[in-house]
Amino acid sequence: MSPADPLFDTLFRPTTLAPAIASAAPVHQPGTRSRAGNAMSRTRGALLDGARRAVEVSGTKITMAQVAAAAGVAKATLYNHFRTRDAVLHALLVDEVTVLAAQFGEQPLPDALGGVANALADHPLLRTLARIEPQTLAALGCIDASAEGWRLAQRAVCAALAADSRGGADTVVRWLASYLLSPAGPASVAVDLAVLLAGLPDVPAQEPARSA
Amino acid sequence: MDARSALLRAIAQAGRERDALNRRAASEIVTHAALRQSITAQRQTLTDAQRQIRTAIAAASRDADEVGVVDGAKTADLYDRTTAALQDQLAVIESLLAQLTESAGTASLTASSADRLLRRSSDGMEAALREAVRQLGQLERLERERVIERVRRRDGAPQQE
Repeated sequence: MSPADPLFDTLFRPTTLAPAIASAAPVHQPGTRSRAGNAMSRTRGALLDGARRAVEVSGTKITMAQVAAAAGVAKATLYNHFRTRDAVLHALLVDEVTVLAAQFGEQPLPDALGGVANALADHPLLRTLARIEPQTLAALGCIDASAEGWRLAQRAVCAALAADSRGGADTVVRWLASYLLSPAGPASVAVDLAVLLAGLPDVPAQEPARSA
Repeated sequence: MDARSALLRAIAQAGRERDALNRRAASEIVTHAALRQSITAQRQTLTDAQRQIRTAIAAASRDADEVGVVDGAKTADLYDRTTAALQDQLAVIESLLAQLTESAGTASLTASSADRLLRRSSDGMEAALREAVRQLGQLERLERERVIERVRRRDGAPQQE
């Protein structure tokens, strides 16, 4: 019986996956759309919703079990996506910034900036932290260019201003950041915004790059 | 270091210390030696907080002098109020420290009286932390006003009252 013999194949073909493959978590390849990838993305969204609900109750002192319970999934599923509580909290922060940027990014500049300022002033997670964990809110309110959340925010503000041929992103980010620790009502936001929009510098729109 | 940075440091440290105090208050103290050790650790914690708040007070007081020249009396007044509020918190922490020092010297220190003291210290630290964050919020509001004022001046628009 040689390896080419069909009987050899039937008798000696391995029936289990190699260990490296069996233990690997499913990974969604960027640029591909698959049912597994979509399911992963949905699960991740549900986990972040669960984390959001847990933080709204307990602040950042949440447990993985609490997040899994709030998301309605098994703890093992949570660990497939996030290894630690810090990883959950980091992903939640990045998700919050991304959602805000997506929600207001396509709107006209006055609506976008006013919308973000009001959303920050009213944000349920931020107000929960102000109540039960003020030191965490104080740390979050400090602009840190090395932190992913702040980098995303800066990029979103730059894009919104560039779409309107305006500059002054640092000024706008500083203004928006102040609402984390010092919320204000919509009327006050509107007054500040009018001054801000009148004073932001104009920058010439960049011509699209030509291909050689 | 400006008042805002000093406050941020004081807040971060107060948060860590409050957690340490809570852990200490929650732990069961069974021996007299452990009792004294716990009181000593707590005194050290409060002394660290005291030092950090003093730094924040010095920074706020210096900022009050500096901004008074540039941005006027209204702004300086806010820094003065920050200084006063922090002085109050410092007084609370100093009083807690005095109580701990006094208790550590008495022979009649019991687990229950030590527990009361530890919990009182923890509450005092929580209050100091909240006050520091409140003051930071005030400074953030001030910073927002300054950002808007700078934009208005650059734009040449009339000053708003």
